[in-house]
Amino acid sequence: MFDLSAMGIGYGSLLMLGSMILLLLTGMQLAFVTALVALVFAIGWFGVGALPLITSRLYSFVGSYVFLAVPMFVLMAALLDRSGIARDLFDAMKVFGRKLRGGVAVQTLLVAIVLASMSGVIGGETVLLGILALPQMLRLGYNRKLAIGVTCAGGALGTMLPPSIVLIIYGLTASVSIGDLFKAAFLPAFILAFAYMAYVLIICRLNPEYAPLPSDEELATDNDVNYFKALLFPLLTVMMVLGSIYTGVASVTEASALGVVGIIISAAIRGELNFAMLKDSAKATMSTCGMIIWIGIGATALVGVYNLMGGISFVEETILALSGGSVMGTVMIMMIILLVLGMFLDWVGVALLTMPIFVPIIIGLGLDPIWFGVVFCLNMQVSFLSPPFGPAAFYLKSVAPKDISLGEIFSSLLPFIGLQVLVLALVIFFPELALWWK
Amino acid sequence: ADYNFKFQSSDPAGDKNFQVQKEWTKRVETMTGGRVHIELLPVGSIFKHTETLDGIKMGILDGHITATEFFSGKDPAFGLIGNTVGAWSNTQQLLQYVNYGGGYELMNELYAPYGVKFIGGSTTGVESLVSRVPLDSVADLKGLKLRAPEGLVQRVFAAAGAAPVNLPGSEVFTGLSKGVIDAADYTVFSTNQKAGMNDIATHPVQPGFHSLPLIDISMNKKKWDKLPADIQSILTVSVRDFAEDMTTQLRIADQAAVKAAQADPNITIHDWSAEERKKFRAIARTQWEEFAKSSDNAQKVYDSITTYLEANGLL
Amino acid sequence: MIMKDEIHPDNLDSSEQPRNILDRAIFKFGNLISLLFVFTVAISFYEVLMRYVFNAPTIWVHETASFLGGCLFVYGGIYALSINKHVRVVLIYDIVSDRTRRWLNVFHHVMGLLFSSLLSWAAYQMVQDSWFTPFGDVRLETSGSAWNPAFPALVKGMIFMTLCIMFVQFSLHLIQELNGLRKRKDV
Ligand code: NA
Ligand code: NA
Repeated sequence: MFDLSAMGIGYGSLLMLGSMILLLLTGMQLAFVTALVALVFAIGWFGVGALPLITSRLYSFVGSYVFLAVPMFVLMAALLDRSGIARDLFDAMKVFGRKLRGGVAVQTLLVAIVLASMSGVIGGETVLLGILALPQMLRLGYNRKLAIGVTCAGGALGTMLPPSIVLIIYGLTASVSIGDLFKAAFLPAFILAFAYMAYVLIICRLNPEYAPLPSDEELATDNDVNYFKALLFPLLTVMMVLGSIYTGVASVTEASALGVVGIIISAAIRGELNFAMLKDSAKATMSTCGMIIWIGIGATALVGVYNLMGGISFVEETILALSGGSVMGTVMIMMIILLVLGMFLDWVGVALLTMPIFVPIIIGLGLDPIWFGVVFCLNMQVSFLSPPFGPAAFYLKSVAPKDISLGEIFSSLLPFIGLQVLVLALVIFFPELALWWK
Repeated sequence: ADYNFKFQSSDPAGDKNFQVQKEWTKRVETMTGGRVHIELLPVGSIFKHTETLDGIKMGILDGHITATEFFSGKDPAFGLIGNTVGAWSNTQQLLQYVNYGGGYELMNELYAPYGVKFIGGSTTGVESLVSRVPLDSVADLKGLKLRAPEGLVQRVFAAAGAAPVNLPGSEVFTGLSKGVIDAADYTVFSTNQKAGMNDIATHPVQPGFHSLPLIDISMNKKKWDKLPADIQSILTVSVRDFAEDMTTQLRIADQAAVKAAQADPNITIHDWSAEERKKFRAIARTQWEEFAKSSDNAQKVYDSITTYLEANGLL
Repeated sequence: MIMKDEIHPDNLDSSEQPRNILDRAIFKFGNLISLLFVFTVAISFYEVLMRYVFNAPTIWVHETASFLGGCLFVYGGIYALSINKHVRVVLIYDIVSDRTRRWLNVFHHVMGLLFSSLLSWAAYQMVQDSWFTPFGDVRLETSGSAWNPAFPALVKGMIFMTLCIMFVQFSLHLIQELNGLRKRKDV
């Protein structure tokens, strides 16, 4: 038969990337593209004997406890959507930004920050905002791209602001203190969030038609909101999640389950809870999770095969050869690699693939691995939004109105990716933004 | 190189353990005059840590450097020999059992059906217990919410009155800092200190009393059999040296970390009395016996270790 | 009549509806077991309650939750396939002619067949290792914890079964697509 390994790891890497892009462009399902490329390379490089590697990774991936937080937060969002809680909350929050141009987008970002400090996984927040905020902004006549961008970028903040599963996994891979990583990520996370807000306010000032102000009649109806009722239940739920994490009652996964319980109790008190609602929400969770988890399965299969091909030492040697030993050069090459990989792979895959190589090099150069963890986390913010594999976009797509295509979502995200790269550059050139407390 | 092997470690790349293991692979390359090249991959890069035995059996991995106890779900015997909780007071006792007391032969017998050759054993250091609450005796373990890994460790702590919790490694830090758990069986003192564990759980028990894992370096039996005798000898002898290197380096690091922790007013190191350690070992022994009943191989391990301990006046 | 429409669909079916009897069965069963997500919430809540209010953590909740999650995640793959929910990059896919898109679909289904058949075979090896000892006796691989359930063996079995079903799913989709193409040519 054919033996791919004869071409060497350099051309092998290129062929892998090339065939992946080609298959993606035919419109083949993403989850199956990565898994298929992994499969073909496993056979071509090592023979059929290497195939069980992929099923073994599949098994390891689906069995990990941390991923259980994903369906929990999706379920929470679905229940919120099917009860009146979400609409009441958003209506009540109009009061904060009603007369400000772009106010609802800013509010969405504020809500995103609150959600982000409850949850540490990518997905839940994007879905929640996609259900809560996006339809509202569209209904008010906001610029579609701005509305979509704010929803996705805001939703992705969940893994930038502590608690964050990205920082936890980085800490474990790099053997550095997760507590220190959390401290270090705080300021950069807020800088990023405020950069989004500043962008919204400026662009709406420049283009008033991007964010129409509500009419007088609409403003008049605002008084009908029962603020106490509207805010009570969300706050109770927030307290259950945030409270249980910060007082130490529950782990992140358990806290997400408590969030679901909070919503169910709230809906019951409001007299909205019924079996059909539970059933519908569970159904939505099943299809969203099936889609997301299988993308992860494909990525983890690909990473396993690439590692087995000798990808780790290849990347290491390439970086050192290209940078010629210069510190900034090395960091820049790493950034480019992270950004490119982040376009095609899931963050778990990127972390597993690169951190074993990068962290020892970073430490060898005399740089701080805590700072690098924050830099990595910012890179992953970009990866959530960057096409063709942008999880935040997929999450949003799964709940957005049918007429919003993936292409439109991605093009809406470009300015926000620009802002992320800007903040990334800031933290690279001013490490004290992450390390000021040391 | 004439022989290119891929070994997977059960440690992440940033860990001290991983660096020591990598130095071993480099020494092997030098000692064999470049004929053997071992690429060492960090944990999870190809297989999950509990799946490497299957990986070697299938011929996808050539070998692993891992804690034997991870395979306790395949055969309880691996759990018992991989971490005979409470049996060893120091690293030398375990290494003596492996190298001169029958452990080497037994491990090869256990691995034979998987087509795996046990090249040699090592260990880390007696693990320190990370704790938020002061622990000075077996009595203090009562009701303790403690994270412990798969296998015997959980049973022994349960028998001692604690409430073992199953948490993935990634949740230990947040779990401890938020009080989801009171204590955790994590790893050696120096690594815990570096990871900031002792800053959030300020009552570490050091030296530990419970856990001394067997670390094994093994490879595919067919590939081993094809190696010339001189390379086989180099591998065997170099693993014996690796064990010395590993345990000594960790001891040095532990000593430095203990000094740093002692200087920190927030951290209180607890050292158990000989009497309390003996009490814990007595509880542990009842559990080895129970555990031994779960498979014929486990019984073999139990007989082998207790015979050795008795012969050496340790039991 | 309904059967005939299914085998010879007139229009390209890009809707998010089950396309044949197998898809419908997968969808219906998936809807049923999706309630296990709610059950997982319930037991996680129970665990927190037991640990904090009664100071008696369970030994079974974490493992059961991971087990149920694992099975549901795997099943989610064929569930999403049954209602055409898997994400695609539609840059080109959406602008080509109806006929080209059908041929692209045929290509995807064939690749899917390749993918699911090879993986089913690989999963079979994995299941063998976890359901039998090297000596050939039946022994389900366990988690090795204090509770020690046979969940690893069961999840691996679930993966094997799901991949087999996925193979049949791709076969039926391929047949439907080819029939659709042939019918259009006849017209
Ligand atoms: Na967060
Ligand atoms: Na991306």
